Amino acid sequence: MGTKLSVSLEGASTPETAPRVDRPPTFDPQYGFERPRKVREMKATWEEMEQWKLKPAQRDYCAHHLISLMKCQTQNAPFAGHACDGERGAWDKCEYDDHIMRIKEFERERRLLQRQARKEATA
Amino acid sequence: MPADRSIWQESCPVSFSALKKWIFLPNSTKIKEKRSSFPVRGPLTFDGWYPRDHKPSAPPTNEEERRAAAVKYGLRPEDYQSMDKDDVIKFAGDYPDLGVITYDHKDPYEAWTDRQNRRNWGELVPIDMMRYRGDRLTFTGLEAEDYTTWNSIVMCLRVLVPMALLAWYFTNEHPNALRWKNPAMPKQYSYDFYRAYPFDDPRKYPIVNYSFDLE
Repeated sequence: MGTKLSVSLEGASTPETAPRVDRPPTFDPQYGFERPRKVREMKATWEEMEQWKLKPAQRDYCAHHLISLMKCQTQNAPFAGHACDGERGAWDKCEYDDHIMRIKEFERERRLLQRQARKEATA
Repeated sequence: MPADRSIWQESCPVSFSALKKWIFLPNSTKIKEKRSSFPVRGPLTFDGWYPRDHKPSAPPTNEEERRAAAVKYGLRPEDYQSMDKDDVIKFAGDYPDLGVITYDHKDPYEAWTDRQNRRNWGELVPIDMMRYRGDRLTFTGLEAEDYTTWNSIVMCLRVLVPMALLAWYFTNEHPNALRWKNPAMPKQYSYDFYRAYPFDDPRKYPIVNYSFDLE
């Protein structure tokens, strides 16, 4: 079955090992890694986001790409659809990588919950 | 006054004494028997025609009057049946009661002169013909009237009850209920916008997030 259906059925049948998708991960972010994880850097500054009037949902770690895209659109209007395809592609790829990372976090949380359940069962 | 008196006299074959009985004039009226001085009403060339012949008369009281009424309306004496005097809607003197003959009762393949109403010219008109027109009310009893109030209620419930059950099942708010779940953690931001909502500054609540790259 697909991942979405499997995850839905798992969440209904074994809710104790189903990650909650409405809150951050519950385990230590460094747990299980041989070296520390890199801290995500916010490339766009608060002043830049205020200058371009980004919405709160747009102030993520891809905001600098969005600012470049908006700047390019402002300069090349009304031909920004073609002139700014590079910036739009960069922003889309950044959002896509962010989504892949969120899926990885989900899978990490799920496996750690199952591991915790196995440990409690054996102990 | 017509110029040619001979033609005028020939077109009036009935005597005045007979006409006096048919014309609705007061009895005090005195009509002279001169042929050329009185213009006669109606098309007298149509033998036997007069408006009163098309009016119903008093209901028959004996067998002779019943037979006379049957002859008057072109029916057989055994087919003739007058209306019930207590029927205030249909009672019309000696007019016959033909019963209920609706549009569907008649042959659809007959060569009717009036195909819209399935009747021929000169047929006797039923007293309630307008009620049983083909586009208004017609029946043969073959299509059963099986409507009941409870049947309609059950028919509605057959739609509404499954709707209610499915809605209850799929809108279950229990967090462990089966639902279509996206396998992704919530989006990461460098500031806690929820905590700062609605009037606080999100820069006061920075969040440290980690990527999957190792140092």
